[in-house]
Amino acid sequence: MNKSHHPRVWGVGGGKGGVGKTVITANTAISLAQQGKRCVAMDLDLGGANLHTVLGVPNPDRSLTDFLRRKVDSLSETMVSTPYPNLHFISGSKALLEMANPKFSQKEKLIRQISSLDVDYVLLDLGSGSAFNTLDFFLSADEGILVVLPEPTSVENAYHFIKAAFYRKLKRATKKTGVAEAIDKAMEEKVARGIQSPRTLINNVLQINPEAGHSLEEEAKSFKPNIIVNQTRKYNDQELGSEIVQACLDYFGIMVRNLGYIDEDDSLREAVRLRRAVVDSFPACPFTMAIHTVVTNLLGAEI
Amino acid sequence: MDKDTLKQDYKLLGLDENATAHEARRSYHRKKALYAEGSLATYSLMTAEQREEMLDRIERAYMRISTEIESRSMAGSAPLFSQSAATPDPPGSDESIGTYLKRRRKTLGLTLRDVANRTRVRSTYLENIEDENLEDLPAPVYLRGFVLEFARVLDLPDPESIATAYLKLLGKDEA
Repeated sequence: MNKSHHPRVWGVGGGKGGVGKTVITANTAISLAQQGKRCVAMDLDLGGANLHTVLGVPNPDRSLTDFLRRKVDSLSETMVSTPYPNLHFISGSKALLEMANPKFSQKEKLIRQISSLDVDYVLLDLGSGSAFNTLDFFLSADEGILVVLPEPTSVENAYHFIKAAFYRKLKRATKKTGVAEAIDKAMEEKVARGIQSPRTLINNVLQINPEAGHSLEEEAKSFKPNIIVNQTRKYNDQELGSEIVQACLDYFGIMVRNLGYIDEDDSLREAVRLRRAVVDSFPACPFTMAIHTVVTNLLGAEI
Repeated sequence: MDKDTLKQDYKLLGLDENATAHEARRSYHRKKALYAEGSLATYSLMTAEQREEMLDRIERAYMRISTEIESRSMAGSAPLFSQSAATPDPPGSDESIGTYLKRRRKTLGLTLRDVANRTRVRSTYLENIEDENLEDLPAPVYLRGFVLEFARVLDLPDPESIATAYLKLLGKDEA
């Protein structure tokens, strides 16, 4: 067997709380599991873990905490089963204290262990906000997925997240003197709306140090976050994803992939009441169809 | 004309360099809407000044591209549309809107699939719109957007009023 037995990791984040990350993570995982892929859904929303509820699992005894406190040797020992065939779950609900400020080495170890789990896919439910930890997990994933609502605040947060993740990636990639400082400066520098274009940054670095500038350009090309526009209501909302893609390209010089939109759907409320996941309870509702489309788009991108 | 400037113009409007006048116009309108004041996708990205600057760049890029496309077709390379396609005929006096859309689409040499690809409206819907199969059409809120996009892709002068007129068909049917 070759190296490809490492799982593919999909990280679901979003600048803002309440945009539907957890529901999308859970249902995406179930959709993959329904296709026969062995999956783990992992709760890294350490401030407000509730992935277990969406998956219909009682808050398990074992969690990430046991791994971080070294009560167990490997992350795989914290996996618990779910009502869904092929799908396991790792709880993060009591890990808040340990993870509030994990050592760099601890985080790196966790990331390594995630990619050595013996499954096909790992879905990470990331917390809201753009804290370093969230960004690092997002960047460690094979596919980083950002959930956006058709609302000004959410769109603004999404741009902030994209920009922060981008700078974080660049900064981790470069140890050259001068470049890291230039990145820090770009992050601090505030235009009126608080966002400065990463494209400007790369141009600046190219002037200071052409070699470092070119390696940043390469690094930038490999940054390809995905977006999903959730809870769309109007025809215009459905266009938002491709507009964001355009704007990111024009303004940041970043290639974002639009995975599609998810129309608002009453099935969600009904499913929560039944404590079942939507894709399982309502296999033909618009939400389920949209999730399958997202999964198909991501699987298509792997080839 | 400066080749590099033109190259950047095409890039800015997301066009390839063989784009037709029709494609250029369409993408110009899209870009302008994307950077319009109050656009959800870009309002938080830039200052008012930067927005003005971007709109100005789009405007100038489009002007240069139009000039270039015109000279290209004068030079004898095959223009995509015949003269009659460039300026759409008004609908005939007893022509229904659906038939008008269909006729216009055929004048442009577009298939339903072509239109579906550009509008991202499913071609069965487009067909139902053309044939005025009112009972098979989506809810008016969606329909309005569908007809708007349809008319835009056909480069008709006033997509808004076409959409409005189309929705009136539904009212008549119920009455």
